[in-house]
Order: sequence, then structure tokens, then C-alpha cells
Amino acid sequence: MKTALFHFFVLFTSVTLDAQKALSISFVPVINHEPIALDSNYRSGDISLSISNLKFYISELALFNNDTFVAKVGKQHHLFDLEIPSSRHIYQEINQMGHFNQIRFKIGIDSLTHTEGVFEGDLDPVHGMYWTWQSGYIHFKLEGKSPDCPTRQNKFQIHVGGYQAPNNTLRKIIQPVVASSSLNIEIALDKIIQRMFGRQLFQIMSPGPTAVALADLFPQIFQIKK
Amino acid sequence: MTLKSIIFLTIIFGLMSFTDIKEIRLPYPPHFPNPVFDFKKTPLDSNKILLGRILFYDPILSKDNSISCASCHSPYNAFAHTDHDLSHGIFDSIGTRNAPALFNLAWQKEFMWDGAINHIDMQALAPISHPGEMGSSINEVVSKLNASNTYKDLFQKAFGEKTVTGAKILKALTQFQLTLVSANAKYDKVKMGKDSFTLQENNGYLLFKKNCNTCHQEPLFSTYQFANNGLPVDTTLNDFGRWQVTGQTKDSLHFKIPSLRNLSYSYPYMHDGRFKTLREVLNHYTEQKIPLTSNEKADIIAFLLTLNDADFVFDKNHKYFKPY
Repeated sequence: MKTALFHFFVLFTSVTLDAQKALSISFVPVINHEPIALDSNYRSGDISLSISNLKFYISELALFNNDTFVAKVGKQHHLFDLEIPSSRHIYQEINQMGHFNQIRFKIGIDSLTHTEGVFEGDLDPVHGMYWTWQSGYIHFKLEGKSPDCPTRQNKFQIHVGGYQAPNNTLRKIIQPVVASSSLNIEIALDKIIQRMFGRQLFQIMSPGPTAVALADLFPQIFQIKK
Repeated sequence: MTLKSIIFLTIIFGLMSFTDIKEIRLPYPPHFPNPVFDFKKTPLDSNKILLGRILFYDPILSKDNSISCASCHSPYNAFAHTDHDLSHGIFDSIGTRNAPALFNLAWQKEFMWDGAINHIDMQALAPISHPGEMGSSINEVVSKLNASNTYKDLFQKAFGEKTVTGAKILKALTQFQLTLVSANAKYDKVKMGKDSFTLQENNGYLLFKKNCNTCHQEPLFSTYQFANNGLPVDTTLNDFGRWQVTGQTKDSLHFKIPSLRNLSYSYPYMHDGRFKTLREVLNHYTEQKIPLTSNEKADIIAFLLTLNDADFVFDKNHKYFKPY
């Protein structure tokens, strides 16, 4: 009886410990494989540049096992802001730590949320991620400078948004993962930078085909770090 | 327990729960359709309405504290702006459109002349941020209000939290603006059986129903859709309206159909305020496609004047309120 009780006790504690285990998912923007900081110089191919602002919405972050939903991670909408280090990580207490092999999320805000008025927290328009002249969240914002940029003060401003067809820029991302309590998702900005300089598009600030083409890059640039 | 005592207790509990309900129902007459605003999700609350009302009249929302919402949306003009064809903002700047009258907003889905705004909560961001209107930003307004003890108390009362956020400012402005219901013009009194049209007004009503009601549908006197009413573009403005929002050429020169309520209070007319009088407006349409005799025009105008809602325009609950 004593041993049974002991076994029960061990089993019980191990389950509770497991239940308290926290999962952390970190988003790490990189240029040329190097994690970036604000206003430092980087090279992407033969382009040199610095980043003054990088913000984007991560929505509906969740764990899946094959195609079966396992658990939500964090809030429904999370604002990543390069200026705020804590915003790079999303935490969640998870029960079944071992039982997932896929991570899913969306970059941007869904169209229903777009039409439901104002929200507090990460969706509050104070974050500069809501257009004032026309309704809509900016899903992804990248701003900076490059001596190769033929614009005023060599600045580039990429604001990707749009929630209505055919200009919807919400993008779903599915990545296979090896279950672990700490996952890193790299955001390789190089593809966006190359596209920007290749097409000489340094100012994108409204919904439309140009923003859609950039959003189509999201599933390629958000990659789980192996 | 007897049936009597159960009923008694039910009434007592009912009354008790009523005493701390701040919730208000939006009053509107039975001939009005249901509002499109979702009041179940966001009920009206007297403290939020009051905060919104104070904010609406406070120039603190503008960069140099000179312009309030009411500067261009005056209660005595049915919350429009007479004497100005185009809205004006800080540093004497002039905008590109005629400030629209504000009423019956709970029945509207899209805002601005081109419908660029998809929810009333988000509307105020546009004038607050526009360099030719208030020239500020929601962040700047948040900081200014957070520095005010009066406002911190008002936010505490309205939202149960002292800290001002962008979302709370916008929600409070929404609450006040939703209460701007114009539903007590002579037309409404006739509909409710409290008054009757004169012969001329009645003749005008029949002509109206035949010629105008498709776009200016009663009882709101607008479908709140977008239409091209045949006005040529003003080449000093080159405003193509809804086309600038949708990017579709079919929407070129489409503007939101304005309500015809409170016409006498809200001149000048059209999105760019190009017509000062009702007669000019009517002549525009009769020259376009609606042939009317001068008697018929006079009758229609007589009917349109029954849409003036003095009770709304002079409603003391909508006036400036001094918070201290």
C-alpha cells in the first residue's frame, strides 16, 4: 500500500511538473543570417542598410500534431516590435509538451477583427499599426535607411496591409518542428530587401498588388530555426 | 413561499439590479429600422457617453489645442459646418471635403464621403491625424489626457481604469456619437400619427417617393450607399471619391449618399460644399434627369423642410458640457 501511494505521488508530481512547463517561442529577425538590432549596419548581398523600425502582428499562434490542433500559444494577436525586447517572445504553459510536430500562425490580422471596431492592448491604434486615412491594420512594417536608396534621406518604408479581396495580405505560416520547450523562428529579411531593391519600391503604404506580392514572401521568410 | 412573495421578491431584485445599471437603450421611433451598430456587444453606458461628449468638444485633441470635433461638427448645424464649403483645420488649413452632418450614425456601416472607414470607432483617427485637420496623433492625445487629473477621473468613471488608452478614447467618442439620433422632425411626427402634412407637403412627399426615395430612402433618407450623382469633378480638388478607396474605376466619382434630414441646418451641400441653397441642389437634379415643374420643385422643398429636426439640433444633452 505504501509503495502504491508512493508511486501515485511520483506520478502525480511528474504530471504537475509537466503541466507547469512553459513553452517559449522566440521570433528572431536576421539579415544575412545575423540577428539584427535597431539602427546598426548590415549587408544583404551587395546592399548595405540599417533598420529603424520592424513591427508585425503574429496571430493565432498554435501547436499542431500532424494536422490535429494541440494548443494555443499566447494571445490571439501579438505585436512584435524590434524596439521592445520582451515582444520577441511568446510564452505558454503547455500540458502535452511532447505531442506536437507543427507550429502554425498568421502574419497580420483577420478580416473579421478588422471590422469590429477598436481593441485594447496590442491592437490599440497607438502602436502605429493602424492606418488613419483608411481602415485597416498594417500587418507588417519595415522601415530603415540605405545609401543605395534613391529616396529622401535614403529612407525606405514598407507598410504591408490590406484585408479585403483581392488585396488581402494576411498570410498563414505552417512550419514543422521538433517538440521542445524553446523554439526559435527566424525571419530572414533578405528576401524582402532584395525584392525592394530589385523592383526599386521603397515606399509602400497602402493595400494593393505591390503589398500582396510582398505578403506572398512571408511564408518563405518565417522559418523555424533547426 | 407564496406566489405573491415570489412576485414581490422578483420585483425587488429587479429594482435593485436597475439601480446600478448605467446601460442606456438608444431611443428611436418604431418607424426606424434596427441599427446596424451591435449594441449587444457594446452597450451604451452613460459615463462613457459623457466622457465622449466632453472629448468631442475639447480642442485638446488637436496638435495646438485649437480645434475640437465640434469646430467642424457643430450641434447647431446638425453637427455639420455651415459657412464653409470645405472643412478647415489647425493653422487655418483648408481640407478637401465638406464636413458631413453627424446623426443616426448607429445606422451606418461605413464612414466618410468615400466610405474609407469601416467602423465608427476608427473614424476619429482620421481627423485627429490629418495634417489639415487636427494634425495630432492618437499617441499624442493619449499622453495629453494621461497628464490631466480631470480626464483620469473621467476615464476611471467610464471604464473603471484611470489609465487613458487609444482604444478608450475612441470608444468614448463612439458612445457619444451614437446618441446623436435625429428622429423627431415633422416627418417623424406624421409617421407616429402626432402631426399631419399640409397639402403642399403631402404633394411633395408623393413626388419625393417617386423621384428621390431610391437613394434617399426614408425614414433615414439615405441608403448610405455610394453613388455618382452627375456632378462634374472640381478640377481644383480632383476628388474621385470612392474610387480612391476601392481602386475600381466603376467607383469613380461615387460619394456617400447623405441623409436629407436637417437640411436647413447643414448647408452648404454636396461632398465639396459647392451648392449653398436647396434650390441649387434641386436644379442640379432637374437638369440631369428628373424633370420637375417649378410648382413641383416648390412642393418637394416644402416636404424636405419637414425633415428639419429642431428637437435634435437644440437637444441640450448634445451640447458642450463643462467637466469641472
